Amino acid sequence: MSSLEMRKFVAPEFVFGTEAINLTGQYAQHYYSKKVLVVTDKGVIDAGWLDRVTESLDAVNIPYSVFSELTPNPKDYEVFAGVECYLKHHCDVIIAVGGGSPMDCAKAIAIVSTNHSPIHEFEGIDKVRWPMPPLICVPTTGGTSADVSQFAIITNSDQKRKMAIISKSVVPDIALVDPLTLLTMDPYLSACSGMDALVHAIEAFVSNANSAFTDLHALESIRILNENLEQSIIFPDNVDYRIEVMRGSLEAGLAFSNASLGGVHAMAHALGGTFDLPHGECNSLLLEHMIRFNYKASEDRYKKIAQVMKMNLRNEPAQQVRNGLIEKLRALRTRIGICDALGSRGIHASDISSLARKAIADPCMVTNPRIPVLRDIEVVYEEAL
Amino acid sequence: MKKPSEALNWSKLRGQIVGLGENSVRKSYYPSLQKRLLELERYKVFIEQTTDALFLFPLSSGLIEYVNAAASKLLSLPTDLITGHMLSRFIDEVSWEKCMAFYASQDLRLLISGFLVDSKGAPLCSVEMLFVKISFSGQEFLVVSARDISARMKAEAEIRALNETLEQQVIERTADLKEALRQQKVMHEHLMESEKLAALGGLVAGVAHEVNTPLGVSVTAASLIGQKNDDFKRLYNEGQLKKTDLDNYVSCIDEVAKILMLNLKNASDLIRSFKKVAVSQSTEEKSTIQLKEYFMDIIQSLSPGMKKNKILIDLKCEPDLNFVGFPGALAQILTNLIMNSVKHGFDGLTEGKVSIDLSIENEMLSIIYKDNGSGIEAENLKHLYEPFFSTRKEDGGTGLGMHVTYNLVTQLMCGEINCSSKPGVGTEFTIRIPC
Repeated sequence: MSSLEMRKFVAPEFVFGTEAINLTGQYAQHYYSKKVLVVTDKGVIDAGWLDRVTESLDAVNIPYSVFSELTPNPKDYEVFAGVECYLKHHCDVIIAVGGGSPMDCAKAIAIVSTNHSPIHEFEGIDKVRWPMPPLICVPTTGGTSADVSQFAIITNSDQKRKMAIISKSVVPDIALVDPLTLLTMDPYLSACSGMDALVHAIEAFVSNANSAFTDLHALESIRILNENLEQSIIFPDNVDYRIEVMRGSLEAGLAFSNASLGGVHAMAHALGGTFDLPHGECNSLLLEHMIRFNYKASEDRYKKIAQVMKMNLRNEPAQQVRNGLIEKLRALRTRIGICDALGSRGIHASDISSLARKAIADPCMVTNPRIPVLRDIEVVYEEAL
Repeated sequence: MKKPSEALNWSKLRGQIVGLGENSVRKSYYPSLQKRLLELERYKVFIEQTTDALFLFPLSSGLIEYVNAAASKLLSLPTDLITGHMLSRFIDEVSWEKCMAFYASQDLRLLISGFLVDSKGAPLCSVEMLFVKISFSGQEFLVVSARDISARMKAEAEIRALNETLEQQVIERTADLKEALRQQKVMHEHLMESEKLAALGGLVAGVAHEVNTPLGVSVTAASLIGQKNDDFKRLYNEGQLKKTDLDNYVSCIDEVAKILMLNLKNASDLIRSFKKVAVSQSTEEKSTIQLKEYFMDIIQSLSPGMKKNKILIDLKCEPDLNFVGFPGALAQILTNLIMNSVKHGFDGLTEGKVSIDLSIENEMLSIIYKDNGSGIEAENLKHLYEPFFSTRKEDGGTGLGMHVTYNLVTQLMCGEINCSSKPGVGTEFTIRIPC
């Protein structure tokens, strides 16, 4: 990045710390809410986090409605149902509690409720005209960092692809980041969401829209996650590891919200839209192959990542650094439970060409360090099978 | 290799993703808030500037929360002396009762007339008041708008007064018209009578004139007989009477007697015909008429007046044809038609022919009168039956003849009369009268 180019940095208000979830009611009050719509999913309800939120709202006498009819990789019709719920109950503030899915769904509901058009019309960059109602995010994974990002990803159920809605106006008003919510995650979920955060940080760092500000957060995130993610899965009840992982996720979020992502996410969106696979899993399986493709275009940056990940470089040639990094990441993901490759998830060679076409059209591809052609993407998919 | 244009596009997209696009703004409520505020300001101006007084109070307390400038003006009180009080302070008791009843009812609107009152309860102005129940933010309110209708009431009173005078005027005018109509009817009847009398008069004059001639001749003949008798008596008394004298005397008396007979008979016939016509005309009752004989009589009674021109009247009628009708009327009609032919149709012509066809068919008497005179111009045909219409007024024609004829046919006898005429050829009248 040339120092002559301009960069913008947008971050929401956030509160990070244990028991932050209890502040929900207070912030709903701040926004003079007469009725809150709480968007969440079944997993979160079962884990008991919805109750904490509703208790907090009850304490300040703010009535609420709950919308939880959504699935991982939220779909357009689920958004529509959520909007109906919002309007029917005359809500004026939205609170999202959960992982990426409820938070993205909540963002989409918020957009549609004030803009009065189907969600498809907002796909792309800066398409949201009217400001959405106040949005409070309480993440319960570490994580997608949707609680701080300018992204909302909704699946187009007809075309079986993911639509990226990107706008600075999509950034939530406040994120209440409570690491204690991570304690109820099962190991696989911890692994997937943790790897998702790591991929965010890595992609943000090598993104061609990186800046000094985002680099700061990206590198810190990589460092933290490298040191704590695996431990947090081995010792799931250790609060300190969870705090660090959550912090790592938050840092990654600050980074990628402003520097955007890259090819890994573009290709992961294609997979998620077509086959409904978990987002974190797709990212993990594609990361190493994408690095191989990108390495030459951003060699120094990848070297820096390797450094931060405590790899011993010591004048090793580029190729070896590359291979070392790739191996380290692959080993990490395998150890924490994300094994094998795409082939074992039911993806076939025949699916690749349509996947590649969707991936290359994804806005995340714009900021990949190396601009690919369609064939390049296909090759990466093939390698990832 | 990426094409240059695509690379440019991606560069633009990158700029937008980073947040440097034109529309990359963090959300702000301020623009739409400003717009809303402006709308509200404008709205407030409308409410303030309307001339209707507006009061707003919640149903729970009844205390006025909002009042506009018009209300303040009508009550001559500043707004802060109006808010916080109940509406009962500012409107008359009857209206307040109605408002209370409305408040307790299920109705949503009430429109009444009443008064705004001052602090002593004296009326300030007449108003039309509209009470509307509204719901807002879970609370029930009453919005009262009061419109000053004093000007309207004054205008209504004026219209009512005007209406009343108008009605009076209409009544008067109607009476006037009725009177005028009545007078006109009377006049019309008089005119009809006059015409009848005139016609009759004409007839009488004609007859008198004509009777004079044979009577004159008779007088001359009678005096000749007297003279011859004196001569015979003298000759006989002188013993100078010869047989030739006796022969002369007898033949002379013979001749004179014949002349006397003829002329007296003429006179008698004339009088008899006239009598028939005159008697029938004055009583006007229906009687059985022997059509052929009756019509011949009428024609004969008119024949002296037609000596001027050589007019032939040809009457075609079944000998035993009878008709129950108004003889006088029929006589008048026939007289009129014939006199018109004489005066107008054959005027300037040396001779003329009139044919009259009488028949009864399907219970209708039909009279077809034809002359071969100079006819009637189409222009005049239009006005034929109009009263006072005459092309010969200077000859003493009243212009009522055909009008009377028309009335007798259509009104007295409930029949119909039609006329067709060709100038230079002749005129034809068709009269049909029900039996």
